[in-house]
Amino acid sequence: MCGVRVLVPVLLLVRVSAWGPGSPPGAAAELAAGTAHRAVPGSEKAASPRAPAARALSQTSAAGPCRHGLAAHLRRRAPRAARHRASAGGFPGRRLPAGARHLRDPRAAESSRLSGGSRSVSQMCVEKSLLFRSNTPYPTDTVPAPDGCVLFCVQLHDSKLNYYQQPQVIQESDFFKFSEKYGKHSFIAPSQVQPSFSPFYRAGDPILIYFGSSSVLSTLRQPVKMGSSGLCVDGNPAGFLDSKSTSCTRIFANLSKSCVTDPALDAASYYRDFYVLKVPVNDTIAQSMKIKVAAVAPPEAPQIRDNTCINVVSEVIYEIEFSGTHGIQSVSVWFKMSNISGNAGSALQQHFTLHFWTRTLSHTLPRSGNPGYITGAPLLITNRGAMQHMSILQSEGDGSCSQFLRHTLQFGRNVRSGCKLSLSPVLEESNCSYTQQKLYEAFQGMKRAEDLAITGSAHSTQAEDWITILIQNCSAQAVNCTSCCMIPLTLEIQILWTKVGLLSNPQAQILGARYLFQCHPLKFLSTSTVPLTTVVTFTDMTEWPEPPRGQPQVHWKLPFDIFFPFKVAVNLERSYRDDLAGYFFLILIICSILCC
Amino acid sequence: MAVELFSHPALHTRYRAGLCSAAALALALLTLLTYVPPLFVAYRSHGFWRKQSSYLEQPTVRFRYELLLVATTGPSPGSFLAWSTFPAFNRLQGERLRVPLLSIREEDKNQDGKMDQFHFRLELPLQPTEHVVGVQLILLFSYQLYRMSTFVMQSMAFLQYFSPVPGSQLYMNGDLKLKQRQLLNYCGLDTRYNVSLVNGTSPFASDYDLTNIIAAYWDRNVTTVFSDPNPLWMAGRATDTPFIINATIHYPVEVILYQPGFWEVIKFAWIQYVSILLIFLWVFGRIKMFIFQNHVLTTTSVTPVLPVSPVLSYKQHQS
Repeated sequence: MCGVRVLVPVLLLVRVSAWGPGSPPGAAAELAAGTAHRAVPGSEKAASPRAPAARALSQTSAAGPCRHGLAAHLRRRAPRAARHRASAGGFPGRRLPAGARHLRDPRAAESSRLSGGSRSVSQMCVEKSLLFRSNTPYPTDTVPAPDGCVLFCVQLHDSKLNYYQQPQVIQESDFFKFSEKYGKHSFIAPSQVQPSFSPFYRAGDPILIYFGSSSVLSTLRQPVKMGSSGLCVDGNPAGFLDSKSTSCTRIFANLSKSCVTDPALDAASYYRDFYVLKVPVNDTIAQSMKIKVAAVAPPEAPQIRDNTCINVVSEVIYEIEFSGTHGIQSVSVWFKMSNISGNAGSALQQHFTLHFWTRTLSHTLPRSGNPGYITGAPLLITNRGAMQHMSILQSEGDGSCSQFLRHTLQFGRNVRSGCKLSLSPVLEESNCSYTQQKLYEAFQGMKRAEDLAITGSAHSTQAEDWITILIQNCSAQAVNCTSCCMIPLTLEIQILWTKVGLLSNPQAQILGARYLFQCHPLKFLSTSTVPLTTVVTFTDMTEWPEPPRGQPQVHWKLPFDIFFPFKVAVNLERSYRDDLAGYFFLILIICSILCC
Repeated sequence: MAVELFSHPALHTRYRAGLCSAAALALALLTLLTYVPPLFVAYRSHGFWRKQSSYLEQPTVRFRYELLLVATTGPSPGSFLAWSTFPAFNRLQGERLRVPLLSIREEDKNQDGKMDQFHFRLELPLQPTEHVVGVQLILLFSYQLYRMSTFVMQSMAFLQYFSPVPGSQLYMNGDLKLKQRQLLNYCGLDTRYNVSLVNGTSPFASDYDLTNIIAAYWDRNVTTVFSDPNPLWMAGRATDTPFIINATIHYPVEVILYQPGFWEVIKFAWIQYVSILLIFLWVFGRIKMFIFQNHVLTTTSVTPVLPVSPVLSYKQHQS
């Protein structure tokens, strides 16, 4: 009974030590050896479980042929004679690795150290019938005891006499296996997979082009800015179905030379002399595979005139029609041109846009989400059925309001912009309503927004997808000054939105929008330029369900963290939970057996 | 199979002696030694009174939509552009005022009702001859803690970068960290620092001086700093493009130090005292038992009569 009581916790201890993810397998073996020693009655106190030269792993039962069983023998002897015996008969068949033979032979060192013969080595001997694992590269010896037993002896408590595990012999066949097992990060690059051509383009695949004159296969490029300078990287490939715009800067040290020689400035280099491949093909390119890039109103080549480079490409827009797995059907390209003045170090920003479209979907504008708006996507508005993106006033470099460039709003981003508008051409008319009209136009753009799409996938023909934008203009604010001319100086665009649908997949939906013009009397304005400000505010009015928001749970009328330590334990030890439960039950069963 | 589960001494022996006897004195001394030294041990081993404690909380941070920007455009002292959300400051700038385009989004990533990230984008329009070589930007936030005491303050993130090369874009990404020079209270409402960092109503230029603003801010005992900004300065601006500041500020969970309240201090002191006292009680109990059982000090022992065992009681009467 007593023995059983002792053994059960010991076995559990061994299992626990083997749980540790970082503990080497040797730890468990040592512990097993330790328990075996502890189980030995009699003089086992003298035996250390960490006998240095031979790490013991008991695998047999505690039965031996000798009369005194497992009693360990402590003996003193002159080592030289014993070693002589060992080299004669010792441990046969132990093959040494080639490297180990080149090591300093400890036999030589030890014999020189012990040549006087005066020092003896204290050794610990156990019966040979037990199985041991020894990690010494040299033959171990066994000593016959006077009573007919064969003893296996190790030196005690000398940590200097511990050895590394013997290295494995590497065959050619398992070289890769071992280099995989032991290899960590290194400069050896992982093997590159050769690009394979699929029978059709998939989203994100590079679009192949073919230069007929040189029979060279290449990819359609979309230059992009990179690094700390923001200069164009021309090698960036365009991805199939990846409709996006990029911009980057080109700097010219010698503009008069670059103007005529740099292909990036010449519109022809973006469509001439190459074909876009309908589907990716590897080998022979049939004529039907090649699609010519159609340039819409192809501009002339750039040229220098009066120290100014005229007709340079500032924007390239590719319109690519695709049809499922049938690949690309047609490609057209548009250009926007500009002029650069020829002083040294002049720079040009170029924009590159790829737009993919298909006949089956008649969206003129890309969706801003499906169905709910995606954060950062443009807001869709209509003006008499024509869909466009909502935009606000933007300022030029000198702070004046830009006539053409407007900032496109993005869903979810609060914006503030300001600029100065010169009223002098307008004021000559000296007509209040005309001035007001001009300012409203400046704020709202040429095409005034009437309806705003509720969702990002709104269809222009479906009325339920749209809400009317509420407009509150100056006429409502002229209360105390009927003769004044109230002109709008600030436009506040307020957009109320909410999340709808599943908690796990929320969809943003616009509930309402209002244009609120803040107005001031014209006579108080001291100068002929007026500062115009546009402020955009997105207000989230999402109504959350009752907490808890996750899975339905039992509602405890208790503080929320009353079971905190148990929750933490469950979360951390999820992987060990089965083990723990198993051992818990084992302990319970053992306890119940013992206590009955 | 029956095993012994529990046992208790059956005899309740009483020892009697005079009030001024050696035994009474020794008993008083032993009692004193039992109850007082644990207090000394607990106190002298430090940490008896809990002076400070900490907890984790994600602050409720909201951008106040107030900011102040100074962009340096050259080496000469007058070459800078400025803008702020304070009209008085803008009036003071005159020709150097340049209105940027601001785009801001606060994001609640884990949908717990508290903002986790702040995306900031500022496009400063520039003329072809102007180049930005440095940026100083103050963003103002309202910062609130609720778990222990309700702590409300207005705080700021200061972004600054200067470069020898004219830039096109500055990207920064970091945390808005709380800096405490003082423990917070464990309860109550703390609005000491819920005052505006920039006096937007003042017409005086000194109220908008960055030196004064920062000096006043760092006089506070509780502040926030924009830490580990990882600035990326991009050069190579095309002539017609604006200068862009792109910043992402995270609102991390903070470890907040606070002064524990009375009952929390008493609770932890009590735990320490009693755990040491238990050892002393056991040791001195043994000592007392030894002294009285072996009659080291003169006492009269009175053993109670056990009704279940008449033989035993008879024998004890005999003695």
